[in-house]
Amino acid sequence: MASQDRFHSLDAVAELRSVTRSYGRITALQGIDLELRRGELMALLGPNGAGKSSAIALWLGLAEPDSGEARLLGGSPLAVDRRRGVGVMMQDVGLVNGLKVRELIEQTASYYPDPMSVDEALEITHIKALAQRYYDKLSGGQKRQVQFALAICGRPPVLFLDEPSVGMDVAARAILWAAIRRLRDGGCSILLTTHYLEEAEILADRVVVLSKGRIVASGTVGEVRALVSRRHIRCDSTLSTAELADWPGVVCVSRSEQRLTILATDAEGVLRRLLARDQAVANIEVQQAGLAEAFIELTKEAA
Amino acid sequence: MHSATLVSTPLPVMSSRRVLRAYCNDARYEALRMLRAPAFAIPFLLIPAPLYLLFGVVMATPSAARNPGVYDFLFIGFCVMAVMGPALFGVGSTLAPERDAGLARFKRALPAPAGSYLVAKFLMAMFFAALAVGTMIIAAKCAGKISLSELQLLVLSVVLVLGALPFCALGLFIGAHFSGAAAPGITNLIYLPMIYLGGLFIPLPAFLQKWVVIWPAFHLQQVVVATTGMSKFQFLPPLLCAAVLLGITVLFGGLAIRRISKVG
Repeated sequence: MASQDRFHSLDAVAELRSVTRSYGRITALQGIDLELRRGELMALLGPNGAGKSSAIALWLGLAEPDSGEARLLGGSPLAVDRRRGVGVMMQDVGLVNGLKVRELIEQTASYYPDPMSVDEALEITHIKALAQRYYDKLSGGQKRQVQFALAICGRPPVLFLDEPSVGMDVAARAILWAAIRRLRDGGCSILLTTHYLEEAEILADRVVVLSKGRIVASGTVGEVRALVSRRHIRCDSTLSTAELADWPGVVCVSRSEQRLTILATDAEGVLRRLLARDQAVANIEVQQAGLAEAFIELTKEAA
Repeated sequence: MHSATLVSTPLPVMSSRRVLRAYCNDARYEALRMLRAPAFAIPFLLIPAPLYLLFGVVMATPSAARNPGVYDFLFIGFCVMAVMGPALFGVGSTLAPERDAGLARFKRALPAPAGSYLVAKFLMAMFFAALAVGTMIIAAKCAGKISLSELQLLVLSVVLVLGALPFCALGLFIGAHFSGAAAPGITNLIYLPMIYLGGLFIPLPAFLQKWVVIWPAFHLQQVVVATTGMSKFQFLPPLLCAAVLLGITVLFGGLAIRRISKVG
């Protein structure tokens, strides 16, 4: 683990302290300590069933821990005044039929003490064109855009975004990312779960990787990536992929015409052997593996 | 726009005026979306009055010739039926699919005022009940067969709208315990027998008459009858009937709220 999570209660806007939560015989969270710090954007990563949504449910007061404590903005998440400081975008939520987007935003904004105007929410999320449309007639991606508008319309200092960009097209995702960055720059503390590791890589100040209800890594994107010593080696070579695959330190190898791509745990050793074996090797590039590779490796190790 | 305006810090306090506004908004939008749903609005707003005119006026004429109070009694029976529908179906058959879709859970996660989601459904049902009773009164006045005064009609309307509450609670109970696919069927299993077996308008065979007390519709009818002073149709003390209706509201509403607060 790159850096063990420690509690800085004064800086934490949402905390789980030694929390265990089970659903029947399945333990969703196993004694984890986790905090969302003031002003940070934390990405919570993990495979399906890792415990990400369970953690959010505890922070929103939708479930209570079997043991340990969940705190939100310094108090119990069950208290409505705490939740007035939170905006939320949940997975798989069907909103009411028969209401227009503008009406849904106005309704949700009315739950907050100092919300933004409906027009402001529409503008920030770039969905002015949807304002008079019925929510139930929108596409999946448009519905997620509206749900994002509902999450931010109360100007909450804390945001929980559970898989926010699922179903969005490229343009909508770019708008979402820009809005999330603006919110963070404005002091909002944001917890983001995502399956798009690129999203975490671009947006997150800190990444926490969960697997089977435990934290298996925590740190900046760079720190988590560095936990896995894999690197990509790309070069032009005539060596066969079958030969390279047998070398120690090579995880996998692929070829596209002359270009070889080697994923290696011991990049230096593989490079030395490559240079000795193929005098004509050219255009060598070495690159640290991305968050995606680190994520797969970390969660595989934990499994 | 400056990014700093996107976030409120520190956490402001919610004024009681804004809390009240949130309740009103929820109720307003619940009523609006149901008015926009023809499958709900048409059967419960436009059907009771024609049914009353057919069965409570045209076909009741021979019986009313022998028994002058029958027109008023049938009018009350159809009014009770008119408030039962939106209360049972408007609450139960909307709540169940919304629970399936995770909406009830989402509403719990939002900082909506306590119970506003359910209060909105109750107020919507009472609003529809008021509209339905209004259409009934207009139809009855046009037919010219009832002998109730304006004041009696006003009191009767208030009692009927309040009388929607136990049916709302029953609907809530169904919506909280059954899936969206099952809830309309279960509601019909209660609604249809209650219309006929509750003694609202059809004379019941003797062996069914003693069972009439198990149906909330009968108790509401008895309370409404008391407001009109038609003693020959008063079979139980109205206060007892009102207490039964209150008990049903508290029991079924309480059980439903308990379940929703636990499982969403």
